[in-house]
Amino acid sequence: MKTFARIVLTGRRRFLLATTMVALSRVFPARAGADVLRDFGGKDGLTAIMDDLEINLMADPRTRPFFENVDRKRIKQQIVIQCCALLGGECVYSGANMKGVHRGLGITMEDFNALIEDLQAAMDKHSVPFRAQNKLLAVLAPMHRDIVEK
Amino acid sequence: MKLSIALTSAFALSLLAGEACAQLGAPPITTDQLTGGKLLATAGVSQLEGAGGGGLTPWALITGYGTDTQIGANGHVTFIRSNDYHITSYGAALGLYDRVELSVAQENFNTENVGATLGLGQGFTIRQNILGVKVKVAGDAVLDQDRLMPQIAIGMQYKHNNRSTLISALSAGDNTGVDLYVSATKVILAQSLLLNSTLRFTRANQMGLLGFTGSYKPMLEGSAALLLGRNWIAGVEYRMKPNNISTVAKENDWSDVFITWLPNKNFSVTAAYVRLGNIGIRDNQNAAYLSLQVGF
Repeated sequence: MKTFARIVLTGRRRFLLATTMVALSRVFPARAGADVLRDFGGKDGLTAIMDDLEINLMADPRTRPFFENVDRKRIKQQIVIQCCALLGGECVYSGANMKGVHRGLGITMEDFNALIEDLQAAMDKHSVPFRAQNKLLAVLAPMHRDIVEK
Repeated sequence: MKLSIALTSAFALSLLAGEACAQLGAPPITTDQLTGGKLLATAGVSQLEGAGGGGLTPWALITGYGTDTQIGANGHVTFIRSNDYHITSYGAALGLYDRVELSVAQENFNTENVGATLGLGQGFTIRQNILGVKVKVAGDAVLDQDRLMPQIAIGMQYKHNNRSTLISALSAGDNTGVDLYVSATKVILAQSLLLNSTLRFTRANQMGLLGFTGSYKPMLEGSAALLLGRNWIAGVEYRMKPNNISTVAKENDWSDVFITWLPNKNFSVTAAYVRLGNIGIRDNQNAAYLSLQVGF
């Protein structure tokens, strides 16, 4: 252990360690910030993106079974409000509890990722910058714990 | 010659994979998917010793695009051309349920003119076979964006090279050895950043190509990469080396700058500039690195 401490605390190795530590200790934002919402074209832009998400989800055999027999209009509205709120917009999401509405649907990790891919395609279509896309995905990703069945 | 065959076969394979996808309708999906459920680029590429990772160092990510209910697999060929040597590495890896990774690889280290200078023969080549196992033990690098906890994996690489006589002549110990490592990897999506840190316990000289000497030493390795777009990753890596036989063949820490192009989940190309330092009797081995990977 002493040897190791000596090794990591010399010269450029110390720089490497320090860089890693600083980067790892960065606080993970719970919200993405209002400027990111602008990259999505505001709430109207989000609505247009989610219109395309719906089209993609229904065209994708991986996701279609989960959406063909539900009130898609309502779900879409909820997703727009939820994303608007997550991106720091003037929206208050008061919709259903995520865990409750997904319970028993048997959603797998690949189903969850399929939706992400369909969302990425919709965001690409609306020219949302890649880094802004990732900021939205960063706040959506932890929802896997409520959505995906273990 | 061997290299061009390898590159051609890898390229042909990738074309075949592409063709197969095209015939199945791209992307190749069915309602009951058995493969390919991970997001693009979240599988890493093949590092030099065959593990899923960057170019020089393993990452905690399990190779391939299989999720927790799927499997993934890939094959790779990597070519490194330095001032005085070249290394060709081939390998295949299997990712099981995003939990366990099994890999095989072969490295061919060609000493070119240095072989003749040392009286070993022109183009004297050291061949090393590597079997790897990696197990994800905690965390999720991609999904747990609200937690600092990285994905953590432990792994081992069993290595055997075919030049025991040379290793003995160098008083470099054994021609067989095992590396043990623990890797922590985190994708920080909000910053489009990937960070990895690997702690390797090793006795290997130049990855084991020059034998395994003395007792285990801890070596730190790190990678930092930027997700530049859906299909592009660029980054830097650093890998400490033990320098166990400095009197006969000094070795230096390695570093690289790389860029990876992933047009889809079946194919990737990584190009890098690698600084390998001193190898054998030649200093400043700066190298060009090219790696092709096909898989799912």
